[in-house]
Amino acid sequence: MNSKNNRILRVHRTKAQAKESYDKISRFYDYFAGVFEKKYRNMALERLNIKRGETVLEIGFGTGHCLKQIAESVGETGKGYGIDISSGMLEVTKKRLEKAGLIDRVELYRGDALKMPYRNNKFDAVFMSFTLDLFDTPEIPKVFSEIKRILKQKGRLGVVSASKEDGESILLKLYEWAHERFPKYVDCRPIYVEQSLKDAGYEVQHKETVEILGLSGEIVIGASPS
Amino acid sequence: MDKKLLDILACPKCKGDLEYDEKNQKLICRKCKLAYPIKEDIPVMLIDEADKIQ
Repeated sequence: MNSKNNRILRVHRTKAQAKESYDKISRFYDYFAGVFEKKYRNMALERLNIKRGETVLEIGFGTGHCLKQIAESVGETGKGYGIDISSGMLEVTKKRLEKAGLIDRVELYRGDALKMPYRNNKFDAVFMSFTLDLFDTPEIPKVFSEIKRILKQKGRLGVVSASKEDGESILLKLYEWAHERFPKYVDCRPIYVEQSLKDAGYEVQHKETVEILGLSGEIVIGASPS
Repeated sequence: MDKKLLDILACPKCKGDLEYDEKNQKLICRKCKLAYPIKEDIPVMLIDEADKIQ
């Protein structure tokens, strides 16, 4: 057997199954996964450097913590957009934004990142936090090209995700085993973020590796080519 | 729904223009003959969940 484990695992569950699982966990998601993700999604948002007046989309906003920060950063002159496939997550996020008095700055949509309902060249920045790793391997380049289509020239894409760069760790192997054995529950799996962005033609402006519960994570900011 | 949003929104299938049907709370793509429902102020922009129209 090849000792180097650099094969990215596939995602064996349908979009309908994904929607069903996320609808079920939407109310208590923050109590488990959310706690671990918080630090890194905040770091990634900081690196994306959203300015007042910008139009920014978050794909897979989940329970809406980042979308709330995006709404604060774009200010009254900007606009935040969110797209998610789960109606349960949409409900949680809508309530969060209403409570914060920010709902007027944000537009929420139920939709699929592979077929986004937006025109070309409309967004200054797009953000994905622990969402890209939920897409099946052949879908990742398609998601990136769809993002490129909607980004303005030199628009930025910020991604934070589980990473496969530390391919030899025992924990990574254990995690991948769980992903293959229980695909409905351990639905995301580590991927190569920076490389996938480069392959899709983005110019990588920032990249850092972080550790999430002993697993590797990547924060990457890319710019859409002009 | 604010009509200004139609400047940014497109049909997820053909990326073409959408019409806002305020009365029925739908976003309509004439080219694809699809109507995307707006449920509790949230447009559902999924091709599989859109209604076919004549």
